[in-house]
Parts: sequence; C-alpha cells; structure tokens
Amino acid sequence: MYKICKGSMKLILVLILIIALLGTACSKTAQNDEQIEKPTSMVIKDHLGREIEIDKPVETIVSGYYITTSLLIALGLKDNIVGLESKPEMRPIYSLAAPELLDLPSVGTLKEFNIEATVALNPDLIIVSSRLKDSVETMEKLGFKVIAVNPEDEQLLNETILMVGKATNRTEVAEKLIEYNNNKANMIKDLVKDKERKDVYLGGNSNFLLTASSKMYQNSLIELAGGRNVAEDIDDTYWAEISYEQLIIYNPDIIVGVPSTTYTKEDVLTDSRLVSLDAVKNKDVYFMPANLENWDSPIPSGILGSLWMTSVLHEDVYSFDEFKEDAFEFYKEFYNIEIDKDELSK
Amino acid sequence: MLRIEDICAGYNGRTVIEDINFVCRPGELTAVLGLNGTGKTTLLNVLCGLLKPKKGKVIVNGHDILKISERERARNISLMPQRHSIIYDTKVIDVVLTGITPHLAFFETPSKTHKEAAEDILRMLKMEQYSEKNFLELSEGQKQLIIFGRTLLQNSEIMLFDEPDSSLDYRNKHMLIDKIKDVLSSDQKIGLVTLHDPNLALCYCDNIIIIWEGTIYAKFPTKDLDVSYINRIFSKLLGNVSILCHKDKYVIAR
Amino acid sequence: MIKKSSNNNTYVQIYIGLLVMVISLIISISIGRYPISIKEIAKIVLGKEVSELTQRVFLTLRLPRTLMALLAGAGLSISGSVYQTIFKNPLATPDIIGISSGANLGAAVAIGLLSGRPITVAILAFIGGLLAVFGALGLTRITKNIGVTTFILAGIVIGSISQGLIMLIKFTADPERQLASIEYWSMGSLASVTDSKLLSILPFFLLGIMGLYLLRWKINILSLSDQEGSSLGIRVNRIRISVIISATLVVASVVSVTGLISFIGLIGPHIARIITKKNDFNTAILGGISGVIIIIIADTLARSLSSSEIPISILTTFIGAPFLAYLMRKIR
Repeated sequence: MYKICKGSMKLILVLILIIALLGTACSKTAQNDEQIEKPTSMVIKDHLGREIEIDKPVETIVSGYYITTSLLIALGLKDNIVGLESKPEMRPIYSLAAPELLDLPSVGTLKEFNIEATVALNPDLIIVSSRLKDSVETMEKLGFKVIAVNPEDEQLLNETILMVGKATNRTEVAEKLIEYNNNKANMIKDLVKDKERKDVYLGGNSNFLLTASSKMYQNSLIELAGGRNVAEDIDDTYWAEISYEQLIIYNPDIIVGVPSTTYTKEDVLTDSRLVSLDAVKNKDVYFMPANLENWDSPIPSGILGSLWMTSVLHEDVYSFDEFKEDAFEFYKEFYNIEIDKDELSK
Repeated sequence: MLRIEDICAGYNGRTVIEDINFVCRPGELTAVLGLNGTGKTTLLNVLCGLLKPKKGKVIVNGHDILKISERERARNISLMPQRHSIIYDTKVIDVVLTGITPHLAFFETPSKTHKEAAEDILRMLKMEQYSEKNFLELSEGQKQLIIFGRTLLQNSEIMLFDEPDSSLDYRNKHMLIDKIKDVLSSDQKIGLVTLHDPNLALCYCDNIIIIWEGTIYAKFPTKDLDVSYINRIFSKLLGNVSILCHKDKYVIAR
Repeated sequence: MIKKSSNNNTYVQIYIGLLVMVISLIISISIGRYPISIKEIAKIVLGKEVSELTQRVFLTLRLPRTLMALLAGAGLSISGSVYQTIFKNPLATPDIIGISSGANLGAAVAIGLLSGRPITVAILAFIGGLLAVFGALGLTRITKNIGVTTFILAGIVIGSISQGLIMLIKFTADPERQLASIEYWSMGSLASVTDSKLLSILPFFLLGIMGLYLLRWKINILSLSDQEGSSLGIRVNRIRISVIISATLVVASVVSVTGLISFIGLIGPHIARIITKKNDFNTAILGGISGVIIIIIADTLARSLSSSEIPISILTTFIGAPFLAYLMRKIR
C-alpha cells in the first residue's frame, strides 16, 4: 500500500496541476459572456458564410493573405495595416507601393498561421484566407473581427473586394476597382470576338511540365484573352503534370510561362525535346513578368494578366505598347506608383 | 506429489515426446537425462504450461494443473530457465522480486513484505551484499544463483530446472545443485532437473529418468543401484563406459 | 533492518526531474508572440484581475500549448519506454507496431482526399493510428506460435502498407497545396494547439496512461522471455496486446493533435535508464519527464529561432540524433 501511494503521488500531483489550471480556465471563460449592447453599423457576410458585425470604424488591420494585402494598398489603406503575411520581401509591389510594410510584424502563412502574433497587435479587423477556418474560429472566440476570404476566381475576387471595401468604409474605391476590371474585360472581349482562338500551353512555376487544368483560374484567363488552354481536357486535378509526348501532341501555337518560374525562356527555346513544337520553332514563347505582381492569380490587378495575355496572343488588335500604357494607368490610379514601362516584358 | 500421465506433445504437428509417465515425491530431486533434442525441454514446457500437450495429464495433489489458470499453475510449479533473458540494467533484489508475480493480484505490485521475503532469500543464498548491485554485472555463477533465488520466491511445491548448470564452472555447478537439494529437502518440495551430465545426476538426484527418442527409456531410483544395471543403461546412451564406485556413489567414466 | 533501498533514490530523482520540468513548463508558458509576463500568469492562476484579452489568449492558446507539450513529451516517452520493455528492444519506438505510419496515413487521407480541415485531419489521424495497430494485432493471429517477432513483423507489414498508400496519396495530391500540408503534418508542430483540441484528446490520453499504470508490474515481466513470463503465471500475449492498446491510445491522442514528433519515444527512456540504472515504471515516468523537457526545449527553439514556426521534429531530431551517438559510446 505504502509503495503504491508513493508511486502514484507524482502522477496525482501532475494531474492535479493540470486539472487546477483547466479549472481556472473553465471558471474564467464562464464569467465573460455578457454582451454590451452597441448600435450596429453593418454586417458583412464572408466566404465561410459567417456574419461579421462592424460596429466601429476599422483603423488597424492585419492581413494574413498576400492577395488582400495588395487589395488594401489598392483601397488606400496601406497605412492602416499593422501586420501581414510572412515573407513580404518576396513581393516587389510592396517595395514599390508601400515599403513600410516590409518592417511590419509577420503573422505567418497559410500553413502555420500565428494567432498569438495577430492577437498581440490588437487589430480592429483581421483578414485571412478561408482555408484557415479553425484559426478564424479561435480568433473570433478571443473577441476579434475576422473576415475569411476565398478569391479563387473572378467572381469570388469581386466579392472579396466588395467585402473588404465595405468593412473598411472604402466602398467607393472598391466599386471603382471592380468597374475598371469589368471595363477592361469587356474591352478584351470586343477586341478578340472575331479572332481565331490560339492554342496556348501554360507552363507552371516549379516545373515546365506542370500545367493548369480547366479547373484553374489560369484557364479562364487564357479563354478571356482569346486563347484556348491546350490542357483544358484535364479536369480531375488543379495543376497537372504532363509528359513531353503529351505536349508534342498538344502542339500549342503559343507557350506561356507563369511569373517567377524556376526555368527561363532560353531553357524552353533550347530544350532539345521541344524543337518539334510550332511555338518553339516560331519563337512564340512568352513569360509573364514578375517584377510587380503575379498576374496569373485572382488578385486585384489580375486584369493586367488578361491584358498581357491578349497582347501576346493577338498583338494585331492590342499592341504591347497599349498594354504597357494600360498597366501604367492602373498602377498610377490604384497604387499611386509610376511603374517603369520598359521593365514589362514578355 | 506430481504425477505425469500419458503425456504426448510436440510442435507444429510433429510429436516430440509421447507416453511419458512418471511420479515424483516431495523432498526428491529427479533428473531427466537425454541427449540433445530428445525432448527434455519439451517436457518442461508442457509441465510449466507453455506448451499444450496433445494428450495426457499432469496431476498435482489430485488436480490436473493443465486445466487451471496460468497464475494458479505458477503458484504450484516454477521453472528456472536455462538462460536468463534480462537485457536491461536491473537491481539484483528486483530480479529476485519478480518471482513473487504469481502471488500478486492482477493490478497489484510487490509490497514491503514481498520485498522483505526477497531479501530473506538473498540472505539464505549468502548474496545479500549484492542486493543493490546491477544484475548484469555479476558473474555467470552469481547470476544463476539469483535466478534460482527468483524461482525460490515463487514458493511453488514443484520446481523445474532446465539445465541449470549449463553455463557454470565446476565448482558452481556442484554448489548450485547442492543448494537445490538443500531447499528441496528442507521445504519438502518436488524437484525436476534436466541435465546432460549423468554424473551430476548420479551424485545428487534421488531418481533418474532417461529419455530416448521421445519416450522414457528408463527410470530408476539412484539408491542401491546395481552396477551392471547402470552399465547396461548408460552404455546404450553414452557408448562404451565404465562405472566406478566412490564413497557410495557411482561415477561414469569413458 | 531493511536496507534503505534504491527506490528512495529513484523517488528523489523523480522529484528533482519534476522540479526541472515545472520550471521549464513555466518558462515555456511565458514565451510567445503575444506578450504575457510571468506576473500576469501568476495573477491569472491566482484568480486576480488581468486584461480580458490577456486572459483569453493565455487560456485558449498559451496554456493548452504548454499542456500539450507536457502530454506529448510524457506520452511519447512513456510509450517508448513500454515498447522498449515489452519488445525487449532498446531501440523500439512507438512506431514499432505501425501507429505513426497509420496516423500519417489518416492525416494524408484527410488532407489529400478530403477537406483537409484540422479537425478532420485530427480525427482521421487518430483513427488511422488505431486501425494500423489493430490491423497489426489481427495480423499476428496468422502465426501459430505468436511471439515477439510476430508482433514486430506485423508492425513492419502494416507500416509498409501505410507508407505505400501515403506515397500514392502524395503522388495524386495537388503539389501546390496538399502535398506541402501533408509533409508539414508529418514534421510535427505544437503551433495550432487550442483548448478544445486538448480537451477532446485528454480522455483517451488519460485512459491509455491509466492502463499502462495499472499494468506496470506485468510490463516489467514482459521484458523477460515468453517462457519465463509464462512460468511466472502471466498470459504473455494477452498482456502484450493490452499494453499495446493502452500505449496506442496515448500515442494516437498525442499524434492526432501534434503530427509526428520524432525521437522523443526513443531517447526519453534512455535518459531515464542512464540516471536510474533500472527499467521499472518509475524509470518510465522519469523518462516521461525527460521527454517533456526535451519537447519544451525543442518547442521553445521552434518558436524563437525564426519568425515562422519550425516544425518540431526537425529540432527533436537534431537534439536526439547526437544523443544517440553519445549513447553509442556507452554501449557495453
């Protein structure tokens, strides 16, 4: 008996410690459930279907997603950002349009979002990707306003823009941005409506043989610009890895590389396995520039990706110089910067 | 009293031993002799419940112990294995203490009383100064003695010994078997030991059973033996041998 | 007179170990991106007034994280010790019976084939671990004479099948999102522990530990040969299965929240054995304490070495592997 007592004492001690601490937890959270009545200003519905009540003006914002950080700059809110996603130095647009962001605390990535760091900044509003549903719920429990967004395609992007605009009282600018995008999209449609569609192969970021399937945003980007994604028959995955033979069968008119690829245009043009492709023979290989933003994803400036693609596919109706002008105009209007037109390449 | 009746057993469908019948009385040490592979260990495995026999009974004081629970059986029969299997550092006293297991309830651990009993056994074996030492650092002979101590703590009526002398030097061999004999006679326990060396059997054991090709070839008490009988039996087993008599005991020489 | 046995020494060692562990727990609980001072922690525990947000952060994030470190370090280490004992193999880890591979498979299925939400991942990892172990236990019944090797072989079979399926899922997973998530899960992290996660696995954890505690003497006996165990009156295979199930509950509950944390189950027990020079349950507890201290060191480094969280297995590996090398020096 004595031996058993002595032996179990330590276990019991530790268990008591745990239970005591948990006990304080239970009693504490029970006390703080009273709500103070406040006049409601507006309710935002986010992409997780949650309703967020914004009852006072949003002064400080944490953005855990590069897309919404860029959007905040476009909405003129760069001075309200107090925390943002990790590795901001990887995005040239920040250095150009809002260099002070690079010194702000980082709150993590989609894989490991740091709730404590976010909460420590005590922001009026937190914007994260809807993939972080659990973190959203926890932060809500801690008493913070969180908007979860999922800008996966054009429509969801527009909803995101409106959501954030409404929450931050920048509805006017938000609507202006959407209107601009729609106008340009209509312009493209008009320009290419009588043109023959060109076959386009889109090479992925880490691997040339990784291409966008019909489910991806990039697919619609190509379609809008008057092209046809040769890999549109693939629909069971997002990024699909194909073989050289498959690419030869596709035989695209144009080969496009997404921004920031690990390989260069030269690599593609000099690859002995690709010499038979029409696109390579005619040197119709173009790489989307990465010196500003990655225009191949649904971001606020995403229309520029479509414009770039239109110019590449149908230069005769939309010259590259016209594209440069449009890009310059966009960034001047919404990001308040004057980009170097000569740096825009293809 | 231990009665083995018609035991027939083996592994994987084969029969290794059959028609095993014999009786052991309290206070006696019985040797089971036989060449390698004749089934001595098989017999021990059946007796301590590790191997289910195809046929037969093992009766202890009227009960067939093959039909009772492991724990019950372990309180009646204990086994001192040929080789110990301790791989982790363990205090000598704790090694002996494991012998108390059959006497513990399902979730029980040894109490102070149990510990004292283990200390008593170490004292009896004159090993109490090693109580706190690491078992793995003892000599082979000392280790065997401690394992014997563990078996003693089990305090069973029947004690089985699987070639307890195998890793011991000459002196320790005799010392151990001598001690075994002492305990058996003072506590009136039944002892069954498998051996290779017939001389040890002739010297210390009260009975000898010889197993040949899976069956009992001969069984006889060692008291008042006829030389020609020994000669006949053992030459079949060991080849050309001569029997010497020394101080009332017989010794086999080649 | 009864000699003062070494068991008193072991208790002293355990109390000292507990002290060190509590100190490191306190240090761990005061580190984080949200500033909470030790004074404030004391206030919260004593029930005094602190800012509501500070209290909430402490109770929802900080405290559960540290408690999870406690459960993970203790659970993995005690299970490791138990497996090393019953499989008579000082290099055994909780994965010897395939639980880590099974949990990994569960997580991979959740991330690669289903929604990938943390709660789904946790549930499937838990189930995956349990299924793998039950699969292995069931597989042992193919053999006529079940012994230690049977269990190890069954563990290898189930572990290999799990690994194969994991590779298949990784192959079909979306490389941009899912693949990275699967890899990240398998590297372990205490970053996303919350109070609700901790409370949901706590019952299973305690159940498993209780089982191991109750069976502690028998676990000791299982370190002997099956013949000896049987002759001491123990139903060897039955006890082995009960022990495995208890240990599996412990490991599965930890791993479903944290992902795979390597080396703790291997080195925690060894550290304890070097200190106590024994291998009983008290040593296992001391091993648990060592495991907690190692995890806290690793987790503290994981949080502070860079602005993002380093997966914890990276650090436990870099602490554990050199330690194993050091153990090589001590081999008899």
